[in-house]
Order: sequence, then structure tokens, then C-alpha cells
Amino acid sequence: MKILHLADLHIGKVLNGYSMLEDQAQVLQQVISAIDRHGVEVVLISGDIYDRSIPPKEALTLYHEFLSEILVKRRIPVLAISGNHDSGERLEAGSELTEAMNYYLEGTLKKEIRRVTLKDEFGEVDFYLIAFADPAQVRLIFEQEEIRSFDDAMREITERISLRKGVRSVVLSHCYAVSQGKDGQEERFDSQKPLSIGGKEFVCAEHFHKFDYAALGHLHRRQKCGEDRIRYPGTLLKYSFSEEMHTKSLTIVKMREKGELEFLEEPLFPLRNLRTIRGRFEEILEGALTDENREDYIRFLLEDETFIKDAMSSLKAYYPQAMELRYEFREKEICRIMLREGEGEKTLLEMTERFYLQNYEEEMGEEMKLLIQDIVDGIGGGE
Amino acid sequence: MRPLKLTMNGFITYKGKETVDFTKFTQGSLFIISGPTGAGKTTIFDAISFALYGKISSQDRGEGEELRCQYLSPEEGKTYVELLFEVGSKEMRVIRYPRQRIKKPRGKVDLVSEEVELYYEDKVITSKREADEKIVEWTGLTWEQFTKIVLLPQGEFRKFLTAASDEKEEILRKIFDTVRYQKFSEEVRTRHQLLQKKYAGLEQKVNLSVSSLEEDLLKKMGEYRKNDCLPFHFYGEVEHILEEEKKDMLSKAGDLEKEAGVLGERNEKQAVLIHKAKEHNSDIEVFFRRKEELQALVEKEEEFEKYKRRLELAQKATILSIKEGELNRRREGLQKLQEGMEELKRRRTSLEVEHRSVQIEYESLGQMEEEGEKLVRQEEQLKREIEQLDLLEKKQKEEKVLNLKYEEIIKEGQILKQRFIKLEEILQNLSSPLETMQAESRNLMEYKSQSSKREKDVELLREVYRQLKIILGEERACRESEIRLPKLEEQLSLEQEKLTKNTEDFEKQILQVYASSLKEGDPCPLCGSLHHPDIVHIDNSVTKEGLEKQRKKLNEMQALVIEVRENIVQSKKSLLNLKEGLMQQIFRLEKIEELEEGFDEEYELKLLELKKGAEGLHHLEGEETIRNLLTLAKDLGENRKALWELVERKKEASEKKLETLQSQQAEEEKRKRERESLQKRLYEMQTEEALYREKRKNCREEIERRKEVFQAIDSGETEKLKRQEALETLERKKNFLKEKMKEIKTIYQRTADELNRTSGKLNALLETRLEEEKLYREQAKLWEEERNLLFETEDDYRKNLLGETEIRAGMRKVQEYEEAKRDLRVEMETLDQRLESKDRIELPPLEEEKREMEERLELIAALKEELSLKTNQVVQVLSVLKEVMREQERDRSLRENLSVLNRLCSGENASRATLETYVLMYYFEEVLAHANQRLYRMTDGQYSLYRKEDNFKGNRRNRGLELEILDANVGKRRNTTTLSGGEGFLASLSLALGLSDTMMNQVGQIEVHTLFIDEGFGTLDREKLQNAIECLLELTGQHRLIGIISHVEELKQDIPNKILVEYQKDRGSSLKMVY
Repeated sequence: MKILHLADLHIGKVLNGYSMLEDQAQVLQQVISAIDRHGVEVVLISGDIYDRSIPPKEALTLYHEFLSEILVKRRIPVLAISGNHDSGERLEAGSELTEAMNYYLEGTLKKEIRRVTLKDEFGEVDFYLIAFADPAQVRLIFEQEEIRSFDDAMREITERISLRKGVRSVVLSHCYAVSQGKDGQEERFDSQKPLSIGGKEFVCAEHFHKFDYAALGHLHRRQKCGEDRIRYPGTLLKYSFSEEMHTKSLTIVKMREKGELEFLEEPLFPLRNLRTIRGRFEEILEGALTDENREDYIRFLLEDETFIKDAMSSLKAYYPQAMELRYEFREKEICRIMLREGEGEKTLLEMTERFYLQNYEEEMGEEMKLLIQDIVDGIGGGE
Repeated sequence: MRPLKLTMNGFITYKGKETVDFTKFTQGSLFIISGPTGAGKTTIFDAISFALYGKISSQDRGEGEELRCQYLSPEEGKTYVELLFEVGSKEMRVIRYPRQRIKKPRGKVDLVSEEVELYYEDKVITSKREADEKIVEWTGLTWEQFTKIVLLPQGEFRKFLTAASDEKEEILRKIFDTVRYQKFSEEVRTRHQLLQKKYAGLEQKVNLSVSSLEEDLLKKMGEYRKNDCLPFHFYGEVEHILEEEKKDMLSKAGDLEKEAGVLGERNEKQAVLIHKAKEHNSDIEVFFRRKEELQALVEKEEEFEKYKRRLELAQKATILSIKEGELNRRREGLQKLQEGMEELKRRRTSLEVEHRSVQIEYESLGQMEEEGEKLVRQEEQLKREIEQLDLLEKKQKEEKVLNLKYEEIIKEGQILKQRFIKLEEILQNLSSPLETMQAESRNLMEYKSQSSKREKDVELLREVYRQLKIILGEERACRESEIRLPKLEEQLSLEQEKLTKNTEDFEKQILQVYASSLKEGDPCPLCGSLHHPDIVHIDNSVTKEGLEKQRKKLNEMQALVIEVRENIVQSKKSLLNLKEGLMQQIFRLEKIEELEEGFDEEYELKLLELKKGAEGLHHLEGEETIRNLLTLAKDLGENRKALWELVERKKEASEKKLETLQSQQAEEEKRKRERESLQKRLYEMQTEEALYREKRKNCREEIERRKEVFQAIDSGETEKLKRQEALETLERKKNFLKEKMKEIKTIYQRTADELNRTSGKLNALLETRLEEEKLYREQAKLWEEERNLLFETEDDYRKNLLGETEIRAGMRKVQEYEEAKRDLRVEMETLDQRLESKDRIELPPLEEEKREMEERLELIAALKEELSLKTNQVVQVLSVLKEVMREQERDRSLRENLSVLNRLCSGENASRATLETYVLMYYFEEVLAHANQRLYRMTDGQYSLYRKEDNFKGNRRNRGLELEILDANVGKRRNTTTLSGGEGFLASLSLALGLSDTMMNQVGQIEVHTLFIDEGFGTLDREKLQNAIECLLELTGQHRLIGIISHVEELKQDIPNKILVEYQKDRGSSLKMVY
């Protein structure tokens, strides 16, 4: 069985005020052609289908067109779950109807974990769809008062799933899985909304060990989690400058007999790249004349020492998708401020000495210091 | 400061008690408060602010009494807020009650002022001032700081971003407490001014001192002085000039002193010389004058001898004259005695005449006594008569009283009689209606018994009606069941067929399963074939479970059919029973004798109909008949009920009448009792009347008797008056008589005594005169003899008689003369010895010489005086100058330092900023740096905040705190007021965070572990919102508790720690915690 594992489509994403629908339409087209090329038999989407819980109609249209290409034209089943960006209830609406077309969508978590069974030449494969839910919801659904964290919740959910003996199993989950030994080294991209604001979001990867394959979503970088068979496919596009260095690709899993997995990686070519241009303002303007990818999403890091008037609008004349403008010296300044801490309270004498130094460009005499101390003592402003 | 647990009771919108336990937020320390507008979200923050400071987050939202929930009446519980919080590792608990109007224990609604209880380390503070101070001390935050750093009230914290420079300065001043810098600067200025003033004083002193110097001296230092002032840097030069001058003056003064010494000595000698010459000249003059005086005295010597002798004779004559005086006095005494005797004789004669005349009156005294006794007798007679008259008067009064009493009794008797008659009449009238009443009440009893009969009938009819209804229902149910039964039976047979087929299928399936497991080459257990060319595919449509389910369903259906059949039989049976019972009841109904016409006829007809119907119940079927019977039963029931009600009304009316009757009987009884008591009272009155009549008669008789005594006189009144007047006249006469007798007796006695005394005195005087005369004659003879011895004649004696003073003056004159003569002689002898020559010495040339010397001396003294004055001045100026110079030297470095420091503090420096402004700016820069660090990340490097610098030059004292925002994209700064809502919120949030960072970093040990933000997130787009939340999340990493109020749906979904606030009219707010 050839499985295309997708996640974090974020359809309708707006970056710095630019709608990325055009880019997303183009990349989804690449997905369709890859499906055809590789003869994909089932498509998994592990959450974050849309970027917002209430997506705009253009985003809905794009996704529905994509689905109809797969479901209607190619009759390939699609299994999907909701992610933290999605509104589970909204996604789920009408899913009984779409199931007739082999579109299995689990928007909200239920007491019974949804299982979809498909067959191939090696037999049946059970797909377990775990919709996204926060610990409070999980606590309510399973009536388990001790569930306090995402990890508690995932343990409860996976323990409740009883696998069929001998049947291959795939789990879909939208979570932040961390393999043991790798202690919660947080990886977060600017486009990746935290699962829980303020809460501990990590989930131990061990919970997925009992499945033959864990198709995870949420992390934007393509990666495996400890073991090969626990994977994040990453996003189709770069959705923030922190993802600038990522190479985005498609993850295809070939599943044969139980325990036999093979992974294929299919590179993707975005319509517009997301990149940073670094240099002095004048140099950048000069370089722009010969730059062929001026349509890219650009962030500028200026090496000039002063602010340049109307820099952004000047750059936009060349780069219409210019997004951010930063000055290196400001970055450094901010770093300095962050590093400078705990200087502690200044006494009146110290402050006066500083002021003196600023005005007379020499250190204050001892006699003067004594005089100041005397006055300070005199006014009872003991420091 | 980190809050742990908050409890509110009756606070603002919260009518009841609500608790927020912040420690329950285990999923991180960020929480959201959400709920509809006005539900009481901000109130939670207000409560924290109030608990700590007694003020809510934004004061225009209310204070004092307004903090008590408006739905609470004064009788309900007291409003308070309790906050458990920690600072460092210490826990504290504060309970604060706002000023409120509540009912006190004694039940008076009163205004109770704000109260606080602060608990920590087993201690409690209840003084508001102390508690407030303690909280500020622990948290390190005043309310102003708290609402700028910890609790950011809705719409408030943006103010700091756009506030004018001076407003910002005020805020920063309060937050960073730079008042001490201001105080310090003021102190520096004061000290500097004091020192300056001291210096000015010193210079003034020098100037004053110098200008007191002489003009010539001033001229000498002319080049150093300007406008009569001497700059202090010339003090040295001037000191030198003055020292020189002083030396010069001192040497001059020495020369003058020497000259004056020589001249003075010479002058003294000259003075002695002149004095001696003057003495000599006067001695010569005296000598010659004395010589002449002595000559004059010697010439008068003979005259004084003669005068001496004449004085001796006068002394002897004086002794004689004293003795003569004594003799004359004796003679005069004799004369006086003679005159006294004659006077006494005259007196005795007049006394004798007086005595004789009194004696006649004395003899008539006996007659007077007799007359007195007669008067006493008359008096006694009169008194007796008056007594009798008094008795009469008393009796007359008594009679009058008796008459009145008697009349009263008669009147009362008449009234009583009238009342008695009236009562009799009333009693007679009462007895007739009573009888009719009793008859009526008997009728009533009959009514009562019939009424109860009818009540029973009504009940019976109701029961009939009810049973008829049951029958109707039963019949309907029975019919329905009969219709349903065939359908059920049909269904049952269908199910049975289906089950049979399925069972077969299943059995087949078992075989198929077995067959499918066959492999090529293995023998088939059924046919033994080794080849299996056509293996049946599994059709697992029928499962064992399914089959089991079907079977179960079939069983259930069978049971149902049986149940329905049984129900029908049961229903029919019970219907029969019911109908029979009903019939019996209907036949129990009977016709009753009626009191009123009209009812019974209709009733009887219907009753008959009902009975007929009931008989037919067994045969008739269908609802129609039963329904007819129902209407009949109902009509009958109503008929009976109407009748019963009629009787009931009658019964009520007669009962009322009976009641009136009973009350009338009671009234009669009362009247009878009254009559009896009246009768008794009448008897009493009659006896009383007889008694008084007797008494009156007796009284009248006695009066008559007494009147007879005074015969014709009508009343005793005038008789009594006449007698009293006579009695008074008698008394007067008696007294007069007594006085007269007493007078006569006294005069008689007195004259007799006086006569005796006068005769005694006369006899004694006669004897004394004889003795005196004899003594005088003897002495006169002795004096005559002595005179003859001293002077030849009487004339001679009289001629030599001089006064005593005359003699003494003469003798003194003689003595003085002799002494003067002797003194002059002694003086002349001494002068003669002393004088060497008797020539005069010439004085004028000597005196001229001396005058010249004195003039010169005077001149020298004046010069000396002038010089010493000048010297003194110079010395004084010098000492002042030296003192001032010494003082200046001592303070020089202090003065310089103070001057520099003052310029530094007051803004007269290169920076053109005061010290306080500098400090404020320093902190402000710190705040901005920290704020920018946050803002930079929240806006992806686009925005940073800057201090507006141009303004700084304009007013050096306190400007330079205005803010501008720099947009990196544009590279230009602009006013913060031009920021959009979302940008403004981020900038404000950054500033608030910057403030708290700076507080933690700079101002001592203050830990700001809490941040509450009231709204603002709604203004952010998705990306910005995420940036802002991430920034806040970083703070929770720093062990901070962060609470936000927001309507933003996404935040509500994403933040697991929630406080959900609800509001219901009249019940106020309530909250629920989700975590």
C-alpha cells in the first residue's frame, strides 16, 4: 500500500499580509501529479488543513478542488484529522456524506477512537484517526480527572486503542511528539501556533510505538521522531522565516507485510521562495537589477548603521513581496539589552557620578563625593 | 507579588461569595478571563487591586459604597475581598471591607467605614494606615506603580504611551521615586545659597569697615576700590597699605606724648608758686582787720560792768514774786467755796416747794383703786354674753348644711324611682318576641336533618358519574386492543419465517467457512475429494450474534401478543363487574319528599330514565348510550346539588336569627339584675331620708331656744358687736388709771430723796470753808516779812522785777562780749608770728606764664586724640580684613564644590538637564530598551520606540520624555498617537513590560511576578496576536502569573486555564474556573 502522508497544509495562510493561496494551489498541483506518478493508494492528512478555525471561502474552494481531484477523479481514499489550527466541529460537519466517497474525517475526539480499515494485497490495514483535543477536553470525554497534560491525554487515548492481532496499523495524530532521551528540546516555527497557550505541549513518542506507522502532524520540519516509523512530513511550503533553511518535500510510505516499510521523498518546488537578503541598502538595490527571483517572499537584513528613509517602499519597487525589514545593528542592540541584566539599583551617589562624568568628562573628586554623601545623609534619604 | 487565592463577597457585580484559586492553574500560569460585556471580568482585577490598596484598578469605576453589590440590601452579609498572596516565599492574607451601608447588630442601618485585616506570620494588623504601609513595603509597589506595571487596566495603560512629557514625568517619578533626587538638588541649592549669602555678608562687612576710613587713606587704596567696594582679591594689598599706615601713626603718637610730659611738669610747678603768693596777701589783710575790731571792743568795757549788777537785783525780785503768786491763788479758792454754798441753799428751798405739792396727789390714790376693781367686774359680764352668742351662730350654720343634704336625698330618690319605672316597662316588652324565636329554632332543626340526606344523594350521583366515565374508558381500550391484535399476529408470523431462513443460512455459512480453509491436496471431510476447484466464497452477512438477536426479538414479540390477548379478556371481565356495581348504586337512589316544588318532578323523570338505562347496560353497547347516561347522571347530580344548596341557605338564615335571639335573652337577664339593685338602693334612700329629717328638727329647736335668751333680737350678731366695743373702752380706761397711779408714786419718791441729798452737801461745804480761811492768813504774814528784808519798799520791789527771758538774754550778751575779746587777742598773736614781711606780692605776670603753658598742652591732647582715633580705625579694618580672609580661605574648596554641584543639579551644565531629569531619563532609557526588546519581537523588527529629542533643547528643565515610534520600513519617526489600535496595544504592552523589567532590574528587591492585562487583544490580527502571546508566554517562563481579559474567541479556545464569568439579572455575577 502506497501511502501519501501529508500534514499542516495551512490552506489560506496569510504571511505578513500576503495571501499564499496562489502558492498553495501550485504546490497542491504538484501533490496531485506525485500521486499519479507514484500510484498512491491512500492519502493521509495529519491535521492543520486550514490555517484558521474559520477559513475564508477561497481557502475552502481550494481544498475542495484538491479533494475532488483525489476522491472523485482518482477514487483514492483520503483519511484526515483536525489539527490545532482547525475547528474540529466545522471540519466534521457533513462527514457522513463524504464518507460515501471514501473521505474519512475525524474532527472531534470521541470515546471510541475512529478506525478505518482498508485492504491491499497483504491484507487489511487499520487506520486510527485521533482528532486533536486539548487535555481538558480529553479529561471530560474519558472522565479521567488526573489527565492534566497532553502527554497524559495521549497515553490515555493510545491505551484505549486495542489493535487487531496481526493486522497492520497506522495512527494519525496532531501533536508535539518527543522521543525519549531527547528532552523536550523545543522546536517551534513562527507559523506554528503552540498547541496549548501556556501548557506543556510535549507528548512522549513512546505512545506510538505499538503502531506500525505513526503519521504525525504539527511540526513544520520534515523529520522522524526517534524511530523511522514515527514521522512528521513537514509543510508543503515555508510558512515563516524560521523555516527559511528547510527543504520542503512529500513523504510517501510504502507499506508491505507487517513491519516492512519503505520511505520515499519527493522534492517540491514552490512558486515563490521565502528567503532573506542581507547587505547594505545600496548593494541590495544594485543586486536587485539582476535578481531573477524578485517575486519571492523576501526579508531584508540591512547592514547599514542608520535607518534609511522609506527603505521598504524603495525595496518594494523591486520586490513586490517584500515582507520584513530588519537592521543588523538593531538586532545586536536588542541582543545586548537581553544580555544586560541585574545591574541592580543605582544609589544617588552613583547616579550623580554618572551625570558628572557625562558633563565634565572626568571622574568626580573624593571631596565632592564626601560632600554628596553628607548632603544625602542630611536629607535623611538613607540609601 | 503573586496572588494565590482571591475571595470576593458581595463585591461590585458579585452578589454572592466567589473564589478564584490561582494555584489551581497547573497548565502553565497564563489564564484568560472571558465572559460577556459587563459580566464582571474586570471586577476580578479590581478586587485584587482593592484588597491590596483599597482602590480599584481604575478609580472612575467607583469607590467606597459603590463597591458593595447593588443587589444587596443592608441586611445581607458584609461586602469584603480577601486575597492570599506571596512575596518571595512569604505568604500574606489581606481582608478588606469597603465603606458600606449595612445593618448593625442592634438593627440600625449605618455607614461603616473601610476596614482592613492583614495576616502574616501569626500576626494581624487592623489599622488601615499601618496595613497600607505594610503592603506597599512588602510588594514594593504603590498603587500608581501597581496599575502601571502589574495590573494594566482597560484603556488605561495606553495612556502612558501617548501621555505628554510632563504627565509621563509624573508617572515615572512616582514609579522610580526620583523625589529624593529633587530633594537632594534642593538641598544642594539651599546649601550653596547659604554659603553665597555668608560670603556676601563677609564682603559687605569688609566694604563697610573700609569705607569708614579717612578720605586720604581711601585715596591711597584708590586703585583697588571700585564703586566704594573692595573686591576680595585685593584684600592682601589693602592689608599691606594699612599695616604701613598703622606703623606711621604709632610713631607720631609717641612724639606728642613726650612733649606733653615736659610741659605738664613745668605747669604744675608754676601753679604751686601762684598759690603761695595768694595766701601771703590774704594773711596781711586779716591781721589789720583784727586789730581794728579789738580796739572797738575795749571801748565798750565799762558799760558792760554796770549792766551786770542790775541783773543780779532782778534775780532776787523774781524769787519774791513767785511766793506772792501762791498767796493770791489761795484767796481766790476761798471766794469760790462761799459761792457754792449759796447755790445749794437756793436749790433746797425749791425742792421743798415741789415735794409739798406732790404729797396732795399721793393721798388720793385709794380712790383710784376702787374704780379699777369696778371696771374688772364689768368686763367679765361682757365676756360671758359673747360666748353665748357664738354658740347660737354655730347652730344656725349646722341647720343650713342639714337642709341642703336633705334636699339632695329627696332628689336622688326621685331619679331612682323614674329609672325603676322605665326598667319595668322594658322588661314587659321583651318577653313577647322570645316565644316566636323559640318556635323558629325548632323548625331549623328539621331543615338540618333533611339537608344531610340530600348531601348523601349528591355524593352517590357523583360516584355514578365517575364510574360511568371509567366504563367508557375501559370499553374504548378494549376495542383498540381488539383491533391491534390481528396486526401483531401477522408480524409475528413474518418474523418467524425470517428467523427460519436465517438459521438455515447460518448453518450453510459454517460449512462454507470450513470449506474455505480447504487447501489443494487435502481431503474434504464431506466428500473426501482431494481437488477443490470451486471453493465457495465467504458470505458473512449472517452472524451468530445477528441470529441470536433475531431470536430474542421474536420471543419478545410472542410475549407481546399473549399479553394483548389477556388484556382484552381482562378488560371485558372488569367491564361486567363495573356495570353491575353501577346498577346497584343507581337503584339505591330514591325519591325524597321535597320542601320546594318543581325539583322533584324533573328529578323523578330523569331518575327513572337513568334506572332504565342502567338496566339496559348489559345489552346496549357503544359509547352513545353510556354518554347519555353520563349526561343524565350529571343533570341529576346538579338538580340534587341545587336543592341541597337551597336548604343550606335557609338553614344559615335561621341560624343567624337564633343567634340574635340568644343575645336578646342575655340582654333581658342583665336588665333584671339591674332592677334588683335599683330596688335595694331605693330602700336605703328612704331610711336615710328619715334620719336627716330627725336631725334637722333637733337643730331647729335648739336655735329657737337660744334666740329666746336675747329676746327681741333677731340675730346674735349686732349684740355681740356692741358688747365687744364696750369691752374695748373698759380696757382703755383701766390702763389709763394704772399709768396715772404709777406716775404719781414715782414723782413723790424722787422729790423726797433729792431733798435729803441737798441738805447733806450743804453741811459738808460749811466745814471746809472755815479751815481754808485760817491757812491763808498765816501764809500772807510770812511773805510780808521776807519782802521787807530784801527791798526797802514795795515800790522798790516792783521796779526791780524783770521777766525771766530778759534776765537770761542779758547774761548771754555779757558772756559773748568777753569771749570775742579773748579770741581776737589770740589770733593777732599767731598772725604776727607768721608774717615775715608785711608787703603784698604781685600776681598777674605769674598767671600769664601759666596760661600759655596750658594752651600748648591742650593742643597736644587734641592731636593725640585724633591720631589714636585714626589708628583705631585702621586696626579695626585690619582685624575685619584678616578675619574675612581667614574665613574665605577655610571655605574655598567647599564653595567651589557646591557651586559645581549646584550647577550640575539645577541644569546649568553642558547637558542642560537637571539631575532629576537626568535620572528620569536614565530610567526612561532603561524602560525603552526593555520595551524595545519586546516590541521588536512582537512586530518582527518593524517598530521601536524612541525618545523624542528635539524637544529636549526647548525646555531644559524637565522635558525629553516624549515618545516617538520608528518604523524600520520607513526609516522615519512619528508620533505614537498615529499608531493603529493593534500597534498601539503592542507598544503599550511592551512599555508596561519594560517598566516592570526595569523595576525588577533597577529598583532594589522588587519582584513583579504578576501581570494582568485587561483587553486589547481584539485589536490584533492573527500574526500579531500570536507574537504577543508568545511574548507573554516567555514571561510565564520567568515564573510570572499572567492573566488576561479578552473576548477574542481564538484565545478563549487556546488558553486552557480559564475563568468564565456569567451575569444574571438580579443575581449578579458568578464565575467558574476551568483548568
